Amino acid sequence: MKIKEGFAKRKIGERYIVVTSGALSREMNIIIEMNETSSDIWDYVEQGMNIEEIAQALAEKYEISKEKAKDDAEKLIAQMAQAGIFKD
Amino acid sequence: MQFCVNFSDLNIEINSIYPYTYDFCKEYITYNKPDFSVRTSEEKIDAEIASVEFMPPRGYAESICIYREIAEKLPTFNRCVFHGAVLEYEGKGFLFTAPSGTGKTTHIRLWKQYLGDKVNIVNGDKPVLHIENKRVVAYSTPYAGKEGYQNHSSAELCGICIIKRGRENRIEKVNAGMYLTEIIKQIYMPFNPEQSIKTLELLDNLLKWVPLYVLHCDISEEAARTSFEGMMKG
Repeated sequence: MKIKEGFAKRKIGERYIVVTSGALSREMNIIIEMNETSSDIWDYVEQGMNIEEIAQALAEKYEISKEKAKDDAEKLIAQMAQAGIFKD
Repeated sequence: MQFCVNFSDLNIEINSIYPYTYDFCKEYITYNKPDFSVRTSEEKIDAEIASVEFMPPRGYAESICIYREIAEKLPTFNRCVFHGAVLEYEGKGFLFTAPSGTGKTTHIRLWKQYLGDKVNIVNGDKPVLHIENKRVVAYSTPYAGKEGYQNHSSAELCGICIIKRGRENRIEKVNAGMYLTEIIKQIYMPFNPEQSIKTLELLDNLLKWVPLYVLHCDISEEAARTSFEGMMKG
């Protein structure tokens, strides 16, 4: 589970925006809008954390149950996979 | 050929193959020391021609390549190219933006009709925005769409207005968070990843420092009065 190279992410106001740049922008041209939790999950994936580690980190940061955190993370990761964010 | 233009208070050296761009930029020629330089190549011009449906002359295609090369470097200088029309009234600049074909040009004409010579069209299509020190200044460039509406001038932005077609005329000040994707589509996003991040940072400041409005309008003079009064009162 590795994110392709060429995404640029930044906080704008209260939201997080991801755009494609460089060689990746020739392959896909998308704009993704995210909230803070989704942005965190993105960062954790980028840092190479697995689903258990991500769930743990989210549960601690947002003081939610690990089950709920894992559920949130799995949902977002599935969406990211569908959008073609990951390397094959 | 080699020459230097001044866009948005930056001196830009242009190295072109064809003379078209020089003539096109004539009003903006300067003899000052360049802040940076750009160049094109026959390959880039070929790629530009291949990307459009009609067959543009090579000199024209090169001028488009050159503006893109310039837009790639502008974020370093806290500037970006924005797709929209900037009008100036009594020193206040207003940026109108909308997807192509929504009626941006029509709305500019309505302002001219409603307010006459008091309105200056800074640039009708692709102005440069300088976003720094809590203010945003819009600058004209010769790149002004097919109508070529532009006057060599600048104006401090007091409002950004997203135009939407509607049956009645109304304007409201909105929270930029709801319109991020729409706005991002109108900003030149560089190919270079670092410049892309920098562009997002500029966008963050733009939306922090300049109020955003959404205008629902038809094509009557009432539409111009609505956006004018709505944004002038701030």
